[in-house]
Amino acid sequence: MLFEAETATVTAGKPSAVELRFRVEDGFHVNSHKPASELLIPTALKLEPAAVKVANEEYPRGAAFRLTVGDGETLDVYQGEFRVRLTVVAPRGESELRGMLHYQACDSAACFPPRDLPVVVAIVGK
Amino acid sequence: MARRFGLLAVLVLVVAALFWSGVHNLRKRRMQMQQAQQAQVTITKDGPDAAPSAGKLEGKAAPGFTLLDTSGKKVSLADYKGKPVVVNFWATWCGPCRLEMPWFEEFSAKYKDQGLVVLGISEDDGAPKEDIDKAVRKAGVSYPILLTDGKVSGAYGGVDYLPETFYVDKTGTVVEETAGAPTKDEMEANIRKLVAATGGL
Repeated sequence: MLFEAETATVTAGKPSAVELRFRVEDGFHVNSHKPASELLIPTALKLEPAAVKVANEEYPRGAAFRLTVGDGETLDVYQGEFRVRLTVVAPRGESELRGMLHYQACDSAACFPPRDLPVVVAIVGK
Repeated sequence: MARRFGLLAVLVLVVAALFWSGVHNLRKRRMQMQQAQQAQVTITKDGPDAAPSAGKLEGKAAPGFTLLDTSGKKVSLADYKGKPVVVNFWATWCGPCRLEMPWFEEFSAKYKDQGLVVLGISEDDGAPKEDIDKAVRKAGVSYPILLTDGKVSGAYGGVDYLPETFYVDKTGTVVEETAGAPTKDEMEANIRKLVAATGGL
């Protein structure tokens, strides 16, 4: 897998907002950060400790998606683009935030196993 | 069948391009959005499961396995030689899997006199057994649920698009296989084909 992101420039030493933007291909969905069932795997970032401190991770609300197999089930999912908003405190200079987005994707009739998407964010504190 | 796996191939390729990702600072949204447009990258799967995984065993001998069921008892495919057997790969996190399972329960009762056996193989590698038990209870099924050993899916061609189901006749040959949840009618048609191949209809 490949991941590329441009540099985010923030005010050094102060809480700053950075958004991570993801997109799910049409016809597929991933569970939201708060799925409708405890059996489902939430979409979640797993960020490594770094010089950039992450004070908060804010995930968007999911949308209802009805699986129509059998008796059906209503899921809480992300489709299309979704953004995770981080509040970070970065030191002066260049630093990097690394981690994984853990997700599990399905279409209306089948599912793929959970995956980890590498996430790398370059941050410049000024 | 060929059409179904043709579709599967397309779906896998689509998911290969599942995500693109960018980042932008809120205060420089416009500029960074422009940059993000330039930085957006199609993500491609490069792992061993990048290829479609099903459609390869039809007409061939079903790979043998011995797995533990949820009660800790050893269950082998060979135990059921001479009977029509449905081998269904599923996982707790797979909604379509859990939704089709009651149909297997219903058909295992309906075709019991023809000797039909359904074996569910949970692909929840490393998941707590309580989660598997909870999903089984929720689906309301009573047929044996086996726990993956991490190898059995590989023997069946690399099961990476769940549910995947293999219909194994009395000689141990795969007569049908499906990926993704079928309709109930399609599932019963496959079971009838299996039972007929075993001389039960």
